[in-house]
Amino acid sequence: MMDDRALVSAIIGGDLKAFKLLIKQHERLVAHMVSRLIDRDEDREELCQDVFLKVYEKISEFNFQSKLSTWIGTIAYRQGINHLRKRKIELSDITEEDSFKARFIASENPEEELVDNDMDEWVIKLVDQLPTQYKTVLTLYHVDGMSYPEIGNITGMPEGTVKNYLFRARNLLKEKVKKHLGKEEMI
Amino acid sequence: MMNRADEELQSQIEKGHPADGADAAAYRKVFSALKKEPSFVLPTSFSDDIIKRIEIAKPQTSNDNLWLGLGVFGFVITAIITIVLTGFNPGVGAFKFLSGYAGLFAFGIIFILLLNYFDKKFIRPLAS
Repeated sequence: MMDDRALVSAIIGGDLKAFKLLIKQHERLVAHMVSRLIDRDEDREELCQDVFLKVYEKISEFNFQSKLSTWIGTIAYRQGINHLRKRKIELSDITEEDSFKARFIASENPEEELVDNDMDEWVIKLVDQLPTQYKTVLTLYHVDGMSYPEIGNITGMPEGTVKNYLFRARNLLKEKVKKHLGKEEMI
Repeated sequence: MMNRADEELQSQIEKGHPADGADAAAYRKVFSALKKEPSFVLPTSFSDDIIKRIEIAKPQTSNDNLWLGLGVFGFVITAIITIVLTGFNPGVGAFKFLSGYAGLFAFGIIFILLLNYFDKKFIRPLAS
């Protein structure tokens, strides 16, 4: 197993096998981030490729101030946000927290109803409806097991904001699930 | 604003500590679902595809440039020898008739330039 320093210097030296190893080690993280930010499947793979091409182009600028995974995550996040902006897809606004919360909990979309009682699947669909920043912190924290400072580095948010968004996002999901569970009890 | 009790409850559930009530039950379901990986997975050929793209985009090596230079040099020498041996006299002879269609040529050039302009300005933004 190559450490990050050896891997990076091999890539800078033109070793494409080393770069392939880097892709294998980090493709899961990039796929998670991109799939949370981007809806269309056909755009996702292309964007993941663009992320790694950017990593290859910029690898000589990596200065080991952070973990390699954090640096790659930052590139993936920025590429994702740029893609949304280029497609003129509005980044969900989280400034009007109270009205969003009310709308989110009250919404009754038949498409988001539970299929085969698969609660996990349903919650994941709810995650997709959350603002971009909430989706990102939830994925990095729960799926990729990153710490608050690492998430802060990737997204450029202060650590307190990361904690706050994580709390609010889980709270929104809880309210929605609680409402559903209450309905089930009534039936 | 963060609600202190709710924040504490989230922390308890995350650590796997027991907690009662509807909020705790809902949080347990949320935490369980959040651990699930997104369903999107990259194809097994993903890393190979990127390596191919890098290899295609790679600038030519000095070796490639040397062969290209030798090829061009060989072509020029062959052309000079051929002209000398055959006594070929370059002239515009066969193309003289074109001077009578200057307007048509001007129209063709302007038309192609306009097509490119409209393609860049309107068609490509619509397609992307």
